[in-house]
Amino acid sequence: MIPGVAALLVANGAVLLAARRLLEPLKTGKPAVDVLLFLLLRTLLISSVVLAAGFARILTPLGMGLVGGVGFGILVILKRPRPVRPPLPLPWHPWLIAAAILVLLKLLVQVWIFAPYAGDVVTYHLPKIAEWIRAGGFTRELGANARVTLPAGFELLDTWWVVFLHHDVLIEMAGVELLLIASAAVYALGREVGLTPSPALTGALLFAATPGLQVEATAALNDGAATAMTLATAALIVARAGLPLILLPLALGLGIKPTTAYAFPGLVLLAVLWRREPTLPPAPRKVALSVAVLALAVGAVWYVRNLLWYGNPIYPMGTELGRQVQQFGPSLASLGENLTTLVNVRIRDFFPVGALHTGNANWGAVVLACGLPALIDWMRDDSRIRRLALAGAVSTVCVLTLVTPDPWNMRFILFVPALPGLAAARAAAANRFLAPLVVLAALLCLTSSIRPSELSASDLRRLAGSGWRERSARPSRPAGMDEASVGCLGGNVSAYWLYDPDYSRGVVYFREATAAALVERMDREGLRTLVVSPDLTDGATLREAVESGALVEHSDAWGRTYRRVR
Amino acid sequence: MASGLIFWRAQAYSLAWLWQDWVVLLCVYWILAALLRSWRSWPFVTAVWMAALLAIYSVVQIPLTFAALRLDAP
Repeated sequence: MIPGVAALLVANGAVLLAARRLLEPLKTGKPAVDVLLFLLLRTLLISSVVLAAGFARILTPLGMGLVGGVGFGILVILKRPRPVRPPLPLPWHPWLIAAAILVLLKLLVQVWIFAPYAGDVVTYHLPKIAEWIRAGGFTRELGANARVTLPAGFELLDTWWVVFLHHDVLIEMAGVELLLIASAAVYALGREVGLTPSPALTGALLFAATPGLQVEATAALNDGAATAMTLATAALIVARAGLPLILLPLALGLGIKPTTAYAFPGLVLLAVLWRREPTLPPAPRKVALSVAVLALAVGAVWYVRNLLWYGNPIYPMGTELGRQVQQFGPSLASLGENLTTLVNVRIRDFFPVGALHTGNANWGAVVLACGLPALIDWMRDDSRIRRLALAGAVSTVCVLTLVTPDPWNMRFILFVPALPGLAAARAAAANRFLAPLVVLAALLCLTSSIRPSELSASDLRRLAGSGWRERSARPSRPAGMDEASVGCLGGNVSAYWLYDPDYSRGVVYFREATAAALVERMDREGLRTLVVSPDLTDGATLREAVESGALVEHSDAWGRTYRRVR
Repeated sequence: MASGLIFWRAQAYSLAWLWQDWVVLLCVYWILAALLRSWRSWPFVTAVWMAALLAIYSVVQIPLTFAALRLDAP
């Protein structure tokens, strides 16, 4: 474990140094924008390194540790003397720093205690990471769920936090660093529209306290990451950065989640509405273009892979699977239903806050109680805020027009709380009556996101009480889990839990259509246990295998599993 | 626009319910802001409005949050 931790530290040090070197020629002269660019460059470098290591099949603690060590050494040797830098462009107000530390501590405790628990994460986001880590590189096998082929830009960042330790105890750190990027983007937006550092930082903290973003950050889900890239794009547009720099978060966002594109019309409108504002000094062309090309490559790799493997860059979107996985194209009916449920139900968060946003907007009390009235005042005062709000509204409407009305789709518009957060901070700075209300609302936001609804109280007790090496959110160990490998049939299995937190167990995915082929492959692979998707347990294949005496059924808290009988 | 939204909510929902509708409260605030922002006590009015909206939100979410914090629950 100690070599893994050392490799993690060295590699992170190398990436930080490299991002700082890369930032030097791209500096804009605006500290808030520079901090955002630094964080984006770091994300780009991590994504690129994991991608390269995956293709080169050195995605191992030793391989990545050596890459990190060599990179760190080179960067230290090449270090040039630098002029004394000003400190971070933050207001060092004690209460704000205390609030920032409180938010960060809450997230870090959750990172430590939580293990991947959300259904989407354990069925289709993370099984591919487990395969990569076990194989030491990218694999054709990604898992059995239909959605495993969706772009995996966020999974690259997850991989960064598990590869060195060969363990998933820190996997939620990827979400925390993306929430940091989102908050930096909100801070930069606040500074660009004229807020002084204190209200801008307060706005960023209020945004970071949004319940939906808090649970997203520690659930290994990619919606918070997509939100970060949307807001970073908006911040760079408002700062009037050049197109190559704007492409950096835009391309990374597309590689994280294709639905980030649904917000593009609002971002284009923002660029049009902001075209008369003064531009930043142009970045050196070669460096900026290199960064943009690398970001486009990192973002596009999943679409190219899907085109090569399936002939469709956005597989399985469309009808390849015999049904639509997500709505295809705009629908006014969807817009009407999504808007109605948002206004009448979801914005009030009638349900417990959860990572999958079931039934809720999860924008929290700050947005509804303080942010919206404050935004009305701000829009009356400042035409730039009217333009920003219009662009945000267009993005929101576009997203709601393009997504299926379902209980979970509010996670696609988690960028909305940014502007109300800044507005609430500005109002609290100007009106002494408001500060206690804003603090109360923010505390409610943070408190409501302590235990996500997907984790029961007993789950949380069990997670907190177990040692980190064996910490897993799965309900129980399926029968037969003392084996080196287990079989998995069907796509609706929480397959990630089968690997164990240290990826010590192999999972063999079955796609056989007949009982004879299934049993023959189990024997060939030396498997004794088959974990089966709940929708397949009554299927003809399994029934035939059980009736022939080749398999016996076993039920427990996990669900139904099958044991091979010889 | 604010008046139109209030009219829409009044048409769609019962009048008895409107006082606790966040859309109506926000629209009334919008209208008042247009008329009274220069009033010396306007900051206090803003605080009262935000407190009302916070109450509307909290009446649902605070019990849910307290329930979620009860770690002795099953």
